[in-house]
Amino acid sequence: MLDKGKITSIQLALLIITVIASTSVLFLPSVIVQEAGRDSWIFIFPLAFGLAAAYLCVSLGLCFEDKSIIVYANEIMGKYIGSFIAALYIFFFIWLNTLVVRQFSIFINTAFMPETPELTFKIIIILLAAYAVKNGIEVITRSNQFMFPIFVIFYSLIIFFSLSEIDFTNFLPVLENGIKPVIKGSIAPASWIAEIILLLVLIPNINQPSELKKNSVYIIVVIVIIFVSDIIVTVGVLGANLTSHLVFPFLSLSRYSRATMVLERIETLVMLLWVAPVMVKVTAIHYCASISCAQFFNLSDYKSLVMPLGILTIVWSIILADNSRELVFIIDKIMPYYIFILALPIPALLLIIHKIKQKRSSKA
Amino acid sequence: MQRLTKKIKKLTEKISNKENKNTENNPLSPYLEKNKKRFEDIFNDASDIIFRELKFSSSEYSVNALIIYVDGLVDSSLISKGVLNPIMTDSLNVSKEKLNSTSVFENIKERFLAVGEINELEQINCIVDFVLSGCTALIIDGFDKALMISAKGWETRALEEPEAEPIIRGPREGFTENIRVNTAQLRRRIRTSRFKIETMKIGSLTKTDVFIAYIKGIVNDKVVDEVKKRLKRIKTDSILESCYIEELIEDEPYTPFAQMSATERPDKVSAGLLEGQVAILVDNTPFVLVVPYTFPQFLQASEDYYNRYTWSSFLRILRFISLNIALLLPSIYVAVTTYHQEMIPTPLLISIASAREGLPFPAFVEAIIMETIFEILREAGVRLPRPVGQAVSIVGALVIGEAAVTAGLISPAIVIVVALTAIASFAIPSLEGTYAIRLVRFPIIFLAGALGLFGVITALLILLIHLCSLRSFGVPFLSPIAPLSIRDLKDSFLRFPWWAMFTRPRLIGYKEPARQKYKLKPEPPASRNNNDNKGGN
Repeated sequence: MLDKGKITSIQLALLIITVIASTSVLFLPSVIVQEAGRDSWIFIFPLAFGLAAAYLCVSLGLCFEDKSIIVYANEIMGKYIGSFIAALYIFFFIWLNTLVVRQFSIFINTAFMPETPELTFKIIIILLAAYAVKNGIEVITRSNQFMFPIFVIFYSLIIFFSLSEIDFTNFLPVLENGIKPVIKGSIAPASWIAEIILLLVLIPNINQPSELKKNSVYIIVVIVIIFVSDIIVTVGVLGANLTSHLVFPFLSLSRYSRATMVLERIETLVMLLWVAPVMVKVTAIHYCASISCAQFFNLSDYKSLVMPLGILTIVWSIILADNSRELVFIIDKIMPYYIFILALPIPALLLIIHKIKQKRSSKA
Repeated sequence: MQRLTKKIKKLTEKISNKENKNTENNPLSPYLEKNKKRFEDIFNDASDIIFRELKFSSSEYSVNALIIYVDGLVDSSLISKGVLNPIMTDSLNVSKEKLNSTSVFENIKERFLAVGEINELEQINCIVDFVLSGCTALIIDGFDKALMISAKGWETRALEEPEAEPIIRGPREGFTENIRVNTAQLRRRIRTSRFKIETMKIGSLTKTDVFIAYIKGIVNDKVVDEVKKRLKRIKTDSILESCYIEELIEDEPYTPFAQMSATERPDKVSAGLLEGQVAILVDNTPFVLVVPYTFPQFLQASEDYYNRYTWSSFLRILRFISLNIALLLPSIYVAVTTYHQEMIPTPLLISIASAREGLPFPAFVEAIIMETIFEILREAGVRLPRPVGQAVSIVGALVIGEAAVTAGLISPAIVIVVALTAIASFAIPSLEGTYAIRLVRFPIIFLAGALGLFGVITALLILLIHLCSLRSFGVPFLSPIAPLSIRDLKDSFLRFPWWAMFTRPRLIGYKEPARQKYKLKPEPPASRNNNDNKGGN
């Protein structure tokens, strides 16, 4: 074990919820509404997909309680195929991190501080993440646990203050174009839920792994509740047409809610509060990337990899996409397929082969 | 670099060699003259050491004796009444069969010395240590052991109210510089045999008494062992204050946050002991260290538990707000006025802008200058003698507050901000808490000046990660918030009534979690009777 820190499964669940919800809350409505229109709130496909991915990841992880997928992929599939699978995951973690960092810097830059170069935000978020990653998984989960109530309170406040503005006629007629566009639109959100595959690396650090099965269901349910409430409020207030044309509909929503008399233009605060969960997200993914990389190369310490991988992430996030449209294209059209492969077929394959091997050895 | 470390190693080896020499075997000899010569050699040129020769004699038998003590460290009236008087006068009345050369030692010890605590010692260096710590040595001719009479008594400060932690309701006495008085104050509050006080001497020259106090059964034994292990690791020549120890035994040295509390209040220490904490008492200082220490204790004053819980809870919330003001107000002012003017309501924005018209410095520079000046004023006020200190505060308030604004050097808004920050920082009850917050404030102002509110949030995240990474003797610094323990939140941001706090903190006092009976909530007699009847049925 490279990091001896132990966390509870609830702490891990909170971490995964923050990881998945942080970026999604901002980008979800516009992505899904473009395809599914006013029926976006019908969220069955991502829910089913998320539950399936969670079930596979958790049951695979619980077969090897003190190892991560980087290690046991080798044991199940042999050296070459196992290493290939491990490399796929590592590549994905780093790639996912570059996507998040790019999303973050573009967002802050366009909506918040247009005169400061994008690179500043990338460097700051990576430095923050590197500092947290070097302190280990315990510190990451604890700082997330500290902030989680604040996220929940602010999210529900924004939802609460928008409730009075919701016009339910915006949702009518239901399923005018059939179920097809709904499923098509929810492919991208489903792929975001599949970020639960971080579990495959984090399970060895849990105190009581047996509770994780129950908690993974909670994770998916909470995520879906957050997503659906996000969609209902944005579509209900802004209408499907307007939502699909806005870049950050949730931010526009917060302009509607005039909660305070002291401060005006509260969306600045929303943006600021958004920095914290994204930091947690980058930290968690960066941690997974560094620790699985260290396991892959059999290093004795993952901390020496934190800064090099951080620099790689910064550089890659610059050359990843020329502009925000290209980035949205990657997130919308490329990432889902990649993450589907990592979240469903590969864990299923590993699980089946492991079970077969187990049966054979018990027979013999 | 290597040469430097080698040199340091060589230097520190010398210290440990010296210590070894001191513990060499060196027994007393049976001849008084010889012993006297040796002690005179050891205490050569030390004018405060008193050698007093006397004779223990009856009509037929007499023996010479020697008393050694440090003038000023012993209770001289007790020495004359309890030691000199019985030996020199009462011995004349002793019948002769009781006195011969073999039994005289036991006789003196058992029948003549009218003093409570007496030890027998044979090693010269031990005797020297005892004498230097205030004991009186009685050496009798013909015996190779000495009687160490504990008749300590020196001038100390009387019990006073601790100036650093004043309260309105509650006990007013504080610790003193005398460690025995301090332990007595604790013992008076906790009258159980489970309350243990272990002793230790640290410092090759100062030989300071360091006591470890805890309540067996409540305390986590691992923490006690860890405290002892860390204290034993200390090899130094001097311990003059508990801070010496604090810096040598803390978990994380590179941080502005103290990981143990230092307090002058015996009631606070007792409360800590009863929750499973360990107290480290150091001689010659009224400040007692208490470990493990967690972040919510920043906001806890001992008075919280002596006032009604409603009021205390209100105070806790006030303190939490003032903690945030002390930490963030100047940086938020800088960020909002320089980067996010759109967040300020228009009338306020106009008044701030008109006040800032024609000012020479940007808000960031103003904030840094004013915060620094305030800290200088505060420091000057503390260091100067009382009457002059007041003059400083008047001059500071007038010149910096009034004159600088009218002269058009700084804006009135920043004066308000700095004053608010200062007041808020004084509302944090723990000293180590205010120090940390006031220090951390400056980097946050810098980040706010560079990146606006984004910089502030970055600073807060760094601070949070740092606090999460801290531990105090194995207990996470941010517990019970992260890792969360809902049960222990009863005594963090609010102070629940005593009947609701029936458990000890989970991470510190988990060995005996129940503090009191579960149902202590007072009820009027009528409903109590009903309940009893129900129970009976």
